[in-house]
Amino acid sequence: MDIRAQVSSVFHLDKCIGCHTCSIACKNLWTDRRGNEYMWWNNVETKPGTGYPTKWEDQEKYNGGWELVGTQLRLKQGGKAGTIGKIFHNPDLPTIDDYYEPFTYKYEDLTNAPAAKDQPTARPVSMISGEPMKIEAGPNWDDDLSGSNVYAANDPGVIQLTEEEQQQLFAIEKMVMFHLPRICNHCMNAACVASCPSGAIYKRGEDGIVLINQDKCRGWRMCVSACPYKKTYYGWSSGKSEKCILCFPRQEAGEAPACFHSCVGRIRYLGVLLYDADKIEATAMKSDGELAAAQREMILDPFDPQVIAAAREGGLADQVIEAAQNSPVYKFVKQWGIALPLHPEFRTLPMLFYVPPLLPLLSVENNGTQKISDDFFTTLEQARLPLMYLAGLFAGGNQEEIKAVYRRLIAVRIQRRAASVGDLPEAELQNARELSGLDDAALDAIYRMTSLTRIKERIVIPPMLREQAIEAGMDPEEYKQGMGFGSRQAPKRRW
Amino acid sequence: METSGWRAEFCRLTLTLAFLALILPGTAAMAATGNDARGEQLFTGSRAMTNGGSPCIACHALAGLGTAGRASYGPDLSELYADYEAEGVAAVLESLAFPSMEAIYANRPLTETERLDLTAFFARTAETQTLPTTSLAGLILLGVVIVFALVGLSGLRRFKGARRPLVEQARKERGVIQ
Amino acid sequence: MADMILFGVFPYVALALAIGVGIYRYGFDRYSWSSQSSQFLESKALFWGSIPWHYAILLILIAHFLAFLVPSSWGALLGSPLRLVFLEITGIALGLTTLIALAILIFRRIGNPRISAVTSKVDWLLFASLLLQVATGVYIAISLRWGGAWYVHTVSPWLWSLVKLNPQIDYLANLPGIVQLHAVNAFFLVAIFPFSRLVHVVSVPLGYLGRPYQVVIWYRQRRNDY
Ligand code: HEM
Ligand code: SF4
Repeated sequence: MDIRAQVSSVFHLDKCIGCHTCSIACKNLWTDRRGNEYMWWNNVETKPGTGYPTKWEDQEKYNGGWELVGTQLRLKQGGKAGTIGKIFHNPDLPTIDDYYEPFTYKYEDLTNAPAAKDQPTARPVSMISGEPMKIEAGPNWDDDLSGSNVYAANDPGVIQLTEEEQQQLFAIEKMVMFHLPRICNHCMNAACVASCPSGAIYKRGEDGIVLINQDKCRGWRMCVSACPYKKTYYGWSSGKSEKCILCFPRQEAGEAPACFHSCVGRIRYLGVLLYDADKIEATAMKSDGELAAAQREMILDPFDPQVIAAAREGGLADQVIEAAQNSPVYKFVKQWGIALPLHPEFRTLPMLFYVPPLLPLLSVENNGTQKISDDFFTTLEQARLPLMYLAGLFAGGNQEEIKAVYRRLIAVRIQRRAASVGDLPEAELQNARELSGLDDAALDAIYRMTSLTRIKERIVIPPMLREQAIEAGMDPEEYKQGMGFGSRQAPKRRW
Repeated sequence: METSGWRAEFCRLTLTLAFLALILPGTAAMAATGNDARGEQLFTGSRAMTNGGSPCIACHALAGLGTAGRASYGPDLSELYADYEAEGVAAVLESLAFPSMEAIYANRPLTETERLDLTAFFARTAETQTLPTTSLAGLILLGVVIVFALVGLSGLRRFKGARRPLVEQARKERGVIQ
Repeated sequence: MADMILFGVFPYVALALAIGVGIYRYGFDRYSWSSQSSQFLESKALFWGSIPWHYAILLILIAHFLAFLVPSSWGALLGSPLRLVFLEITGIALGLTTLIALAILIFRRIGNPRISAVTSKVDWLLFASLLLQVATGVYIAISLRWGGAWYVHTVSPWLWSLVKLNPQIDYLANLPGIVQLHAVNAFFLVAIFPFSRLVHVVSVPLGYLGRPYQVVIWYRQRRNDY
């Protein structure tokens, strides 16, 4: 057993209101430089939709992630020699047009224009070339189902549904959508790490955060195509790839990552998971439908004395083990089993888990007023989203996984309805509880964790033990700019 | 510019040879005979020069060697033997005092046998004086076409963009404006 | 005197710059060490430019290096008229390939406003110098046949004389001007190598072939035995 600790997350999709505060917090902090304008280390996309970059989930197109070749796990974009062979031109690299061309407006024309009969206008100009441009796309171009007959209709998950299921998705008055906030998953079997010819990308042993060493990156841009989530981004001005760093400098100072901290819906949970690193490869080779369960299997019980002993043996500090015991992520993923990885079939073993959305009750038009639909959603059959669609997103197509999560979420809903309105028969509650396999206390704990907790319970940052890191030995006065990122010059092209 | 360079050299060569032909009328008689087959090997470089000098084929054209005998750096030697005969050739091979060649041969002179062998070879090929006219351009262009064809084949399955094709397809199918 | 400076001194200056500035840049501004890929902004023309360019220029460079490092083997290789003609055809075809590919790359940089925006002054200098190098190279190969053969007895000894710190400029001084230009420009490229994107050439990531897929770095010592 090779026990490692990882700072992992859960996003509760039913709570996300799609306000994009998280994206803005991240952008202001990390990606407001030239060449990074188009990067959204944190983005919130609308589902159904094609996401950012367009159709990123379609690996037939993008060739991201891993594939099983016989009994071998191989990067879908090619083996090692193949990767080197494609270095002069990467055939799987998306271009900026698949994200969007960053633009601004010539605002100064509004004030500088000479007096004339017409109103002055501020024309859009490209932030790359400075030339006037036609805006074809932007961040969240398909937000809230806009342009849905182009974007939502072509969602790779939607295309796979039956005609009937597709109609259910897009039927007038029953239209459904939800928001999917995405950051780097800091995977256990990261494809970006595996693809980097320079070996510049690495996973931090202590907390599992995946980082790109900016001084080692040579701009071979293989990670961009290898990451199936398209969460490494090529800085077209600096010639370096960049990605979400899970705000490790903030975490090292005991602060929550910016997107977590600013989240309006409080959908984000952060905590330590302990897992057995020896099992990474075997787990990543399971069949599509088994992957979510197999990954859950890898996560270890931080209260198990054997695990604790092995963790200590492996050099984990007691504080980290303690943080793992208090981890809300452990509860969501393992104890309650209501959080699933996004697209486990990409085989990178992502360490960001999602509570699939049950979605609000359907309200219907009633003589000019709105009223809650009669078929109060208490059974799987009434789910507003086709289960197949969710299974495609969170379970490698295995609907049983989604059903299990939904039964628990429904049980929580019924239990709360019974507690607060009291209009449901006890038998229904009993039935739901049995189906969910959770007891009253657990259902109550889910409810509490979902709606009542404060930031200290939602976000449990392990002590990063900076005092034991090499950096701690450096004099901050002397290495003022060197601390943190380790670079002393501005991150832009100089030569 | 470099063309006039060879011309100048060629003139100098001609002049030198003419001069030698004048002052050395008697030496021909005492010429020993070289091995023309070895001479050919020396000319084409399949046998290295004892002192490390360059094979002639690198710079000089010579009829009778096919396309390989169409070097263009130095002057064409096809008519050398016809013009200067054995003694003239042998003499010029001894000094090789032409600017371009001096640097190469000053410290790596041809040995006496080599000179004789080469002279014999020149004698043998003196009959053929016209260079083949086949052009290599066709083969070279074929090479270029092959390279680009291979590149094209290697990229058949390359990513051609996701968003624009999507919008265009939707526009075509449903007449939607993005 | 001019010959001495160009063929006897400049190569050392160029190498000193390449090594000195190269080490400085690697040591103090490693962040800047990058291929500066522009594929993300434009992929199609780059495909037709970059792939033929790199494969062809690498093969040609390898040929130049082999003829320099092991001149006698190279000479023996060219020792049959058939092999000589075959290698010359291959070389000229590859040379033309680099020329066409470089033309594509340059037009791409001029014609595509996105790519122009990420092209620095040094880039332009580099492209001009590469174009000059490739164009003179092809011209020499076609008009001063057979370069593959005479290189061994002119350029190669000159380069070795430079290596032995005893520059014998006669080898070059007597070559046609266009060859001299090709040689001096080659060292000019060496000189601007550390200032330009060319630094990517020495970062060929062959180590990738031998390393495990996953990279994990520990800041602290792993086991409790410290
Ligand atoms: C063996 C090693 C080499 C590797 C792995 C390599 C790799 C690369 C890569 C990845 C790029 C970026 C292409 C892009 O925009 O995506 C590039 C660009 C370039 N390379 Fe190389 N290269 C090598 C050797 C060379 C050599 C020997 C030369 C020239 C002497 C060269 C000249 C260039 C030039 C001029 C560009 C810029 C092309 C452009 O963007 O227009 N490379 N190289
Ligand atoms: S801030 Fe929170 S609620 Fe708002 S979009 Fe981001 S994840 Fe959703």
